[in-house]
Amino acid sequence: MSGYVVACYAVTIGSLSAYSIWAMARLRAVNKRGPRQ
Amino acid sequence: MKSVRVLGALAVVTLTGTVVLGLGLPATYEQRTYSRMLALHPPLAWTAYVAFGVTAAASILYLWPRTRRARFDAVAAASAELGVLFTGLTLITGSLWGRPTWGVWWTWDARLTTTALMFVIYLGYLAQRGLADTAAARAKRSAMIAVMAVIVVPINHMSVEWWRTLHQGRSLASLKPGSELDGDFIAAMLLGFLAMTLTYVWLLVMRTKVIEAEADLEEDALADAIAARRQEALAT
Repeated sequence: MSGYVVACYAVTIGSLSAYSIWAMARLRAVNKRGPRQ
Repeated sequence: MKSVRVLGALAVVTLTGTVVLGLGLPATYEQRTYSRMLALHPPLAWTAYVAFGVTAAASILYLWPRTRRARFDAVAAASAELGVLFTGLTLITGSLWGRPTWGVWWTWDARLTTTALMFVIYLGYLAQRGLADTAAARAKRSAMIAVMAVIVVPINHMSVEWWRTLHQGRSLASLKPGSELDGDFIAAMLLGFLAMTLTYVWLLVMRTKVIEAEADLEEDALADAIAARRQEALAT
């Protein structure tokens, strides 16, 4: 397997995973804060 | 929350399928194993187009007085953020494909240049959203910018037809029956399109909720600050 192919898959899946984890953490923080008073 | 979980699960399953199918693609005569990147690069670019299209549509809905809702502004902002992410990944994966096949990481080809332009325009859109302003003024200004900015999307898509480029033709056109693309590649690319679109929708739902909640918080903080200043004024 070429290093370019491995890098392409690693960058794509790694970035999408990192962004998803961050987005889920932000959503959890917002939900914990509760609805507007 | 349940729909967010279902969307997330679907995105993870289809993305895993794309990786398995993509990495399992056979080596080709011209591109050897580099053609395996086909399962990711065109779907990433397609999703960026969808994201910027949604930003423009939500912005039009915000600008139209009858449909004006703060939610449309949040959708536009979240979608632009995702569009920038997907465009960035399109540029990186394209560069990783270009180096072994074209011999260069980057060239000022019409498709590459308009993609870079699209990336910079929407980065600017996100940056201007951070300017100090009232929520309504920011939403209106952002919506007007988004409506103008979306013109770069069809130019980018058609650039390979309008100018002589190093980049190959439109990938979406190669999905038609009778094209030169082999069935395995079409299947991997189609699954890639589905996976990236589902991932985008999942992330869009989450980011919209967060942006809306942050806007509420900002509004509450402003209301509190005004109330505090009034109290001070009354006390003196």
